[in-house]
Amino acid sequence: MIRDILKNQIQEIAINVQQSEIESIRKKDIAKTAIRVYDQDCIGIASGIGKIQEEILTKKAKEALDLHISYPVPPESNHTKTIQPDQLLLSEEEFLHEMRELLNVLRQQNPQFTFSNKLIQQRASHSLNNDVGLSLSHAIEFYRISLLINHQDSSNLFDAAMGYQSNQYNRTLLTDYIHEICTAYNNPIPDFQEGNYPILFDSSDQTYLGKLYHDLHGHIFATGSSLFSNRLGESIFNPLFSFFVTRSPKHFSSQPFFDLEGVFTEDFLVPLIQNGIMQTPYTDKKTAHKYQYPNTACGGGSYDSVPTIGIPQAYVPSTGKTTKEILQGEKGIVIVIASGGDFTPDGHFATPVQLAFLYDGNHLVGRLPQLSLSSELYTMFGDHFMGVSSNPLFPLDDSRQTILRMNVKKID
Amino acid sequence: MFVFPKGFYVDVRIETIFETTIRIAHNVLEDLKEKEYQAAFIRLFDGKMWYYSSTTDMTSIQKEINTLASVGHPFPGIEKHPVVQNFEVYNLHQEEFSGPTSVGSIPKKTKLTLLEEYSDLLNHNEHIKHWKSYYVDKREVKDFYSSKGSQLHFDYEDSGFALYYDMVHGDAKFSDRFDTNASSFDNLQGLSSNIHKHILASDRFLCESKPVQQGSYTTVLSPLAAGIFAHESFGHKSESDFMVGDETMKKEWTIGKQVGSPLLSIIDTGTLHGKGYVPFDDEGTKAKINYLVKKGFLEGRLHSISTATALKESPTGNARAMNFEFEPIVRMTTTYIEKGDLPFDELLTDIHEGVYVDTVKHGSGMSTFTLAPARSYMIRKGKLAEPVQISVITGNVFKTLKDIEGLSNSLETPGFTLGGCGKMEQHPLRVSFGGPDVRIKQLHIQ
Repeated sequence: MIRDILKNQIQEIAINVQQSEIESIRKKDIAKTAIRVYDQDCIGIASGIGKIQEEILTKKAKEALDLHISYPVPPESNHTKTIQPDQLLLSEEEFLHEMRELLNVLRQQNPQFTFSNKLIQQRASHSLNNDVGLSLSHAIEFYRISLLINHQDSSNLFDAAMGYQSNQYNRTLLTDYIHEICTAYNNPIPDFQEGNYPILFDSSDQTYLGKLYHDLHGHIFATGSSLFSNRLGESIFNPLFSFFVTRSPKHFSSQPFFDLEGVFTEDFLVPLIQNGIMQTPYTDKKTAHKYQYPNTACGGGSYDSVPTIGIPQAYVPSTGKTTKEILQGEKGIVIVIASGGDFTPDGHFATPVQLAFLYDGNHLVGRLPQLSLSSELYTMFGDHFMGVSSNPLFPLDDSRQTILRMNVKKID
Repeated sequence: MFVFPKGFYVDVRIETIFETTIRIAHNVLEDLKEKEYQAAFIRLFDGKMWYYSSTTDMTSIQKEINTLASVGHPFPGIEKHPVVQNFEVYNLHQEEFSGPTSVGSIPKKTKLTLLEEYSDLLNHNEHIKHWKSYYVDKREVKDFYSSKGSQLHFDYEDSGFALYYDMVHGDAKFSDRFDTNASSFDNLQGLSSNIHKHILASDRFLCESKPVQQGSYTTVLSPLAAGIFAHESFGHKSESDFMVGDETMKKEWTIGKQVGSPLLSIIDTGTLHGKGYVPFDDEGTKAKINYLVKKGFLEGRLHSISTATALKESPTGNARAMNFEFEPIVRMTTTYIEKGDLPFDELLTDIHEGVYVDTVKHGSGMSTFTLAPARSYMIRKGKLAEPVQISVITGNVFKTLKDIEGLSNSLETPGFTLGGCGKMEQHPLRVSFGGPDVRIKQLHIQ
């Protein structure tokens, strides 16, 4: 009988900001442990939070084998890898002091605006060990800045937003970018003409990628329920477009380099669509085994659930040119808030855009009225796909800009 | 029980959780777990700032209180601080959901059998190519202690299941779900006929639906769609933490202002059993029935103790935390539009060409709201007609509230079994939402 021990620990300081002032501080130190045992193609799991006794959880996990939950694939074995952060976070006092300074600058630079929501620094530690030679651990330290921005004359819940998550923090870069957002917000462009425009999405934005997430799911793909079923190896999109799943520490996230089953791949990257060609759906161990697809290290779920296919983190690689080069002198539309959009089953796409800025390739020019975007899956990633920038809009953010042409209308 | 340091307001929330999760995919049991744990969230207020700590070590609560006190600044006379004065004080020990009918007492085999039997209905439709089904339940016992003297012990629970399926017919694809939940496990029995009807409706939609002709239509929202609309478009705007310190918003949201059609009343209450049942919120405030809109006029809003104090209004019992890891913030509970007096058929009678939105995947709401329908139908000459595919429905929130021109005489307050409401970092929070069928003069359909 093989036994896995999976441990997650979150240590966090979260500052709540209200009306540009610190309202509260929250400290968190939460440890969660799951023990999994495997026997005769079945899995048993038991879990606990805080201080646990491994012997008791192991006994409970063995008892859970009586439920006969199928797990017809062997657990991972004989891999050892550790990734530790190379930059230490600030101390609690330093972090609190720095966030006070950050808010001071934001208030001074943007007197017409107020800021709210969370400023967080977190250390997340993940480990998975078993008695057949699996020993994986990954500690991640990061800042998560998530600010809602309100104009003093507005009655909206919020008017703009700025968020990023990274192990990098630089007050000047952050305040400069937020000032650029506030300045552009203060410059409305009422005479905007409807038409077909280059639209700039954050490359990992699920708004425009939602249909790919759904239709590239291993089960959905294999059972013929996907628009891409039976199209393996075929050219389905623009040759410039690629869509990867990533667990790479380079593409910063709070998830470890290994999935819930302890699987990871070379470079932590797997292409699902490469140069427009359908390569593989995303899978966990069971799906890969059942349908004979590559394992893309997408075993997910909560720490104590039986792994199943989880929603992966997407990576849409740069096509090599800067935003300015892709736009070739044309003005584009940067999407800041687009809430509520979706695809129809056959791939038609529409979304309202609550906040967008006109962009000249270098700067946010001004605020556009509320917009409605529409397109169709094969068009937006086909002829209307213009590229993915090599430069981020915000220097501390790893995300690039995916640029697609779409039909744009104003919302009355 | 605890020693509360002088010069501070302190409260302690201890959560004792029992929960079950079952997952079946294509007749194979993929997961079945029962979990029990206890954890706590501690808050300390020094008159200026709040200090929070979350812990899974029940023996360390006093230590956590003392640590928070060591970083705060004692405030002599804290008990006279307006925020502290506003906290309600109760001494109560009640358990509504203990005993043999509680989900904690029902054998997991019984829960598994229920899900297996309902899931089996999915095997009998030739167009369903992929399905997954989930059963979840949760019983939560909360103990709440405050330095003002509150000692509360109460519980709530709910259970539900969701069947997700992907259908294929030639080149046509369609994904749908059947989702239901209840405050009593017994109420999940006997639903085979409802599920069967739901699958037939999905099948018809798969085989017959066509893309909608984009445009503006008179639109009728089902109780589910109306509930999501009420939650997203108005409920979030009623959460008063967005209003504190913002003079423009306060003026815009003056109580008594007309915000909707005279037919429209919207209520939020934690008193109804279901996903939005919150007998006491996470600050120890008792649930109330809160009209947000009454006959078209702004009647109230949702509060924590801090926001009620800041806006000089009464607490409403809406300070809620997603779980022990988070502080309570202003959240909805069960939010619904009050029913009207028209039978459903009469609501449609004089619509020459319109749209009926039956089921919805998701919605959102700022100044413009959206709904992403799963199944919708044209209304022609006052009758439901062919199914149509719609990406999103959009409208200006206030124009739409004023454009409400009819309400049916039935009321449903469902909630999603998986998922819930999201606000900032806290997602999902269990809530319910609903209403009658709601007729709106004009909405933009894409």
